[in-house]
Amino acid sequence: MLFRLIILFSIFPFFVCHSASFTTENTSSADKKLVSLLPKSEFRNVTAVNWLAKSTMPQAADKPMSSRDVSYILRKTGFEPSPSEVSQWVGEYRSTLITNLIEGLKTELVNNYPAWTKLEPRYWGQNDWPESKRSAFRSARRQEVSELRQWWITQMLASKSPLAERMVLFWENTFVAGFSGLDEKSHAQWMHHKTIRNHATGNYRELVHSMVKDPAVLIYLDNNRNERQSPNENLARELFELFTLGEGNYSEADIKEAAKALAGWHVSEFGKISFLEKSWARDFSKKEIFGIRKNFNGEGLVDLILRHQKASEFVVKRLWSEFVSLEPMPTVVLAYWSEAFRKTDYEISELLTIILNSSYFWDDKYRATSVKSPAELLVGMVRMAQHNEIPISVLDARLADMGQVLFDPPDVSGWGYGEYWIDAAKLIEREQFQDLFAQSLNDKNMAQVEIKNSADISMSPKKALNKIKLKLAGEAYQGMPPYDVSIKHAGGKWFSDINYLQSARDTERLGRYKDESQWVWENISLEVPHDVKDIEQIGIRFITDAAGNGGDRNLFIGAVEWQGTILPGSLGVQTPGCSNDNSGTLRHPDRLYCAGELTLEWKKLTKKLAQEQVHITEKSVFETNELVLLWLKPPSEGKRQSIDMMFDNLTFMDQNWDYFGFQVVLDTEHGNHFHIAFDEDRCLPSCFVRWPSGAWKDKLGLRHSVVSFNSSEEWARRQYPSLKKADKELVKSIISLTPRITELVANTLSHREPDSKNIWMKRMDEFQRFANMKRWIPKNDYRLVEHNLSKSDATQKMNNMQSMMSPLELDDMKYTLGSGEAITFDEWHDLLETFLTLASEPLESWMLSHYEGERLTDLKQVVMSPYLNIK
Amino acid sequence: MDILRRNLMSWMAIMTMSPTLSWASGFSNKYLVLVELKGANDGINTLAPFETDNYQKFRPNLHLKKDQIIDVGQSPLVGRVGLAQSMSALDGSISEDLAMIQGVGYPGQNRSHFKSIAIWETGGDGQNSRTSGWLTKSLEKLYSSDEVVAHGASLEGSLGLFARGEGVYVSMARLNQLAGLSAYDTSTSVNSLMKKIIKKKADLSQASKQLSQKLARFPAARLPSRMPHSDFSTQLTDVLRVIGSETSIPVMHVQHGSFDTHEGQKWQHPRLLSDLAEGLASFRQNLIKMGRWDDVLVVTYSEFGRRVAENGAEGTDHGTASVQFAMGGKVNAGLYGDYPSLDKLENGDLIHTMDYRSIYETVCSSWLREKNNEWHDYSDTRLRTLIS
Repeated sequence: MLFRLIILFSIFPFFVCHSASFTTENTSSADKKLVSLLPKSEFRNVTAVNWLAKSTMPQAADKPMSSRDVSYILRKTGFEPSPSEVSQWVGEYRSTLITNLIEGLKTELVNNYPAWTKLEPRYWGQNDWPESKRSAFRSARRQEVSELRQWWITQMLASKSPLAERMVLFWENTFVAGFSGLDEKSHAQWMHHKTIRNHATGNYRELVHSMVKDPAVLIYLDNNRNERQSPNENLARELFELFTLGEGNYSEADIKEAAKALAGWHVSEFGKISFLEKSWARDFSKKEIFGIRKNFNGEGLVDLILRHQKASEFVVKRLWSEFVSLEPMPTVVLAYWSEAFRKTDYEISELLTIILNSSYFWDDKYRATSVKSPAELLVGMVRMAQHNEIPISVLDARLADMGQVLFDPPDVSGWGYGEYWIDAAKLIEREQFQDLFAQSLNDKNMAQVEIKNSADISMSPKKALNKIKLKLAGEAYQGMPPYDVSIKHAGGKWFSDINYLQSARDTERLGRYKDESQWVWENISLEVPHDVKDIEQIGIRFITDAAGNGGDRNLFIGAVEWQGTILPGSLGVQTPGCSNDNSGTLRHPDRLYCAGELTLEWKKLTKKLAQEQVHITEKSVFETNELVLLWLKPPSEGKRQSIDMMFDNLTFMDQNWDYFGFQVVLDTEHGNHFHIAFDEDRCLPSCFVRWPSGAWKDKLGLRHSVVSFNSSEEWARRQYPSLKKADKELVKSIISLTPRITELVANTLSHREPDSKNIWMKRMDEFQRFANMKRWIPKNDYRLVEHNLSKSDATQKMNNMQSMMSPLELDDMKYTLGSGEAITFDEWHDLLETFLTLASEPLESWMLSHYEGERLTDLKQVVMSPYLNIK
Repeated sequence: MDILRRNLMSWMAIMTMSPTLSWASGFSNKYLVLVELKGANDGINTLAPFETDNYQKFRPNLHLKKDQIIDVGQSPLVGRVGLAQSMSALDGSISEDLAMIQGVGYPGQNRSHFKSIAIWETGGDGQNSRTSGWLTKSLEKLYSSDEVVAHGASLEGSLGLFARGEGVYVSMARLNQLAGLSAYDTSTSVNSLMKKIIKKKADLSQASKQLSQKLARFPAARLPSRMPHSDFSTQLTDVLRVIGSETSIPVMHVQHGSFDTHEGQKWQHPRLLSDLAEGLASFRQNLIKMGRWDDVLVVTYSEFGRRVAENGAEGTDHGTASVQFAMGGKVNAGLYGDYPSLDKLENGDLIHTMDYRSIYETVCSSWLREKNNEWHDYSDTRLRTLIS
């Protein structure tokens, strides 16, 4: 025993020097642990090369590689390699390939992010929208995330740096923020992904810091509701347990205190979705975390966590599961790698270098000991074959069937490892995909001289015919939903052939879609003859419905594009629809649950649209998209009664705001005082050119001010007079909107109590009397122009839809497989021959032995191999 | 992790190998069926407080009229209450074995579907989140993995209810998923992981063959009464087959919905309720005829109720407390708990009068016979007579 200890000590010189002085100790009290934190000197920014040079860690990079070695490292650090990827490295040194992988680490985009990511749809102020509009809004956001999932798949297929893509997937599965928990905020989802992509191979410290401020994480883990007065511990708990330290390395008291540190870290939905610190919700008291008492905020908390010894161990353990094995991680390895992670000051790429150089990574013992995730399996198969005939939307649907909806792990703990992926249902779906892929590789396609690596197989480069494009989703039952398209035009009526929606979910085997956010949207492009022009009407017909024991066939129409104009399906009319579901047909004309047709009055709808666009260009000095009533306090609640108002975009004289909020307030605490309140965090940019000297400044330096009508208190009265002239004029103009505000109060759906409307209307009468006072009349009569309201209801709906939908692309994403040039069937097999001659376990030897000496020459057989499940 | 250490397929294999079923002492052929009303059921229009003025006042368009309800009794704070007429399929059950538990909710209501259902599934509340399924600890304590085919099964395809459980939990959207699995050759490998996969696949294809035989002997057509045609009833049919074959899965999860009636509730909600009632009524009929109704307890749950006041779209938004049902041969019919007042609201919402974990406590102590269970603190005397 003593002997063994001595050996261990000599193996880890770095480890020992701190393990003696910085350990976690259990005190007698069960829930309170004293945690010793590592000193700053532990994080020294040593490079991997220097660390490797000094370390006693066994290394194994100084060896030439067999094809078996090459395919092993490429498979494990990326996706299943193609024969050509393997052959190019056979005979080279391991270290050369490692250097190449690390230097080539690029999370850069092969395809640009989908066009919708440039939009800023209005997530706020929807309380008074009709449900049809809210529903269409949500549908658009879901279509966007479906597009983002498919974009991500093309990124993995096309990337020249599979390791970088695997790291993106790894962090997405660590800092989970699933779409079904984001209230349809597709933009938060995208920003989360973008941030992860930026830091995936960079510095872990920066990654954690940015994740704790990430809007999607804050929404997903309820930190938006974490306030000083009523703390919510969700983020604090998961930050410790699932993001950074792991269970057992903190106490319940630490969680409570950490929640306080994170209180007030919220998300602003006004304008662009973004991180917002709310001073009223912050907790500025001292908190004791890991035995240290300090006024921590979120940043301080993260810094503290990263000094915890378990922080580096947590990441390293997860990387072991991700890149090495399901076998338990030897403690020696844990000590080496976590020490290396700290010494390199949490540089992810440096740690990866060290992992790949270690003999543990290359050890035969750990080869073929873990299970590929569905994304690894699917992307790997396509990259290996260097060929794909399956539309991306179908790949997206199949990933979901295998249990991996990208951007939406089942819960905050993410997807699992190993046997998690091969329970009965998932294993069946994996085999189904292998079948499908094998079928798609028919010899004819592979033998074609002109090889297409592109997803768009309907594109014919020879004739530039017109195209009609559709975005469809659906459910299948005893067959895919059949549909056709008809176009009524000046010269008659054109009908397309009958098509089948390939990405529809098989409800007979898998049940219906449980969550609309998981609908898979397929982009379809159909060729239309030249003589079809001057279009009046477009119809999409769901030809035959089917339903039965445990299944249903349905067709959903997201959007239609004709010559650059895109209209959402929700603007159409459904006929005849289901007989027992009349109002459903009206609400969601875009969802065909029974055989029928969706008709879009193309000419009329586009004409209205054109008129509006002309209208919008008119300018005035006081204009907004819309004055929105955000929220109204129920009269029975509290002393301070308020109506929250916000301009969606505001132009006043020469100034422009993205949003500008104010409150109409009745303070019943000391008599009935009416005032208007302005808060700096409700305006972008700041509400006033110069805030009044008496404005209250909160602890974050944000200002709050009131313009009082009838208060006798000095602090309230003195604020308005110290405003600048232009600001005064703005305030007066807002007061002059009282009739408009009264109208909004009368019509809002926000009255939560039976008498609320009457009570508020009386108050507004009183408010109007103050507003009529001479001192509040603005110098000029600036009449407010509200663009969204200057239109009829139908066109308003369309304008909104259009602005949400039009930048969407209805084209399939193009990509070139990152695993090398497309090759023919024969070439693939020639390469395989070479590849197999040199190969051994696991996949390669199985392929040889399985056919008893008969060499495997059919790619389809390779694709069907159960060995593709493991890595 | 060992969550799915065994799977549906291997139990199917076991099932067919020992058709006489000699389960160990732990499992007594009693089944708990949890019915999730997905999307948040409107309790107020399910069990309507039709005598209070505020019911009509808050719901000028949506309130159920006198001829649209079945008067089921008196509740202290609101007077008489009535079950929606659309649930009349359960007529025969009302005085026999249908319990209506009023005002069920939890402190610190979370109004997100996703998050609130996770709270119900794990037994947390607005202040305290929990991570593992509310029943998992009890099930794993009561039954060893050898005693049961699975501790729990979802016939809807999700495992949220059994989150982070360490026993055997299975999920299968449809038994159909097994059909058409390709026959698999039994090659072998030196790799242990590969061996496992190959074995699993072999079991699977064998089980699939055997299962189709088994199901052929137990087709829906041969159930004592026909099940209605709906997605919900399809799941209940699978449950009936499991019960009929005495397969040891003490807990099964089914789902019905979506109850998220933000608009068009007037026509949507009655249809949802009648599908629910018709499904449950046929389920009950079948089990009575099979002589198994005493062995089954059905309990509903839903993420939250809906707001008292209707919205402008003839619908209702996310609210708080709601009514939940329990049914079964051992259930004593009637109203339980107190209907929340419609005069005293909190921000326009009902104030819950019973913590949902009191139901969990009753299920654990009276059905699973686990006296000192995790939910002991929520024990509520008002539920003492729920299960006899």
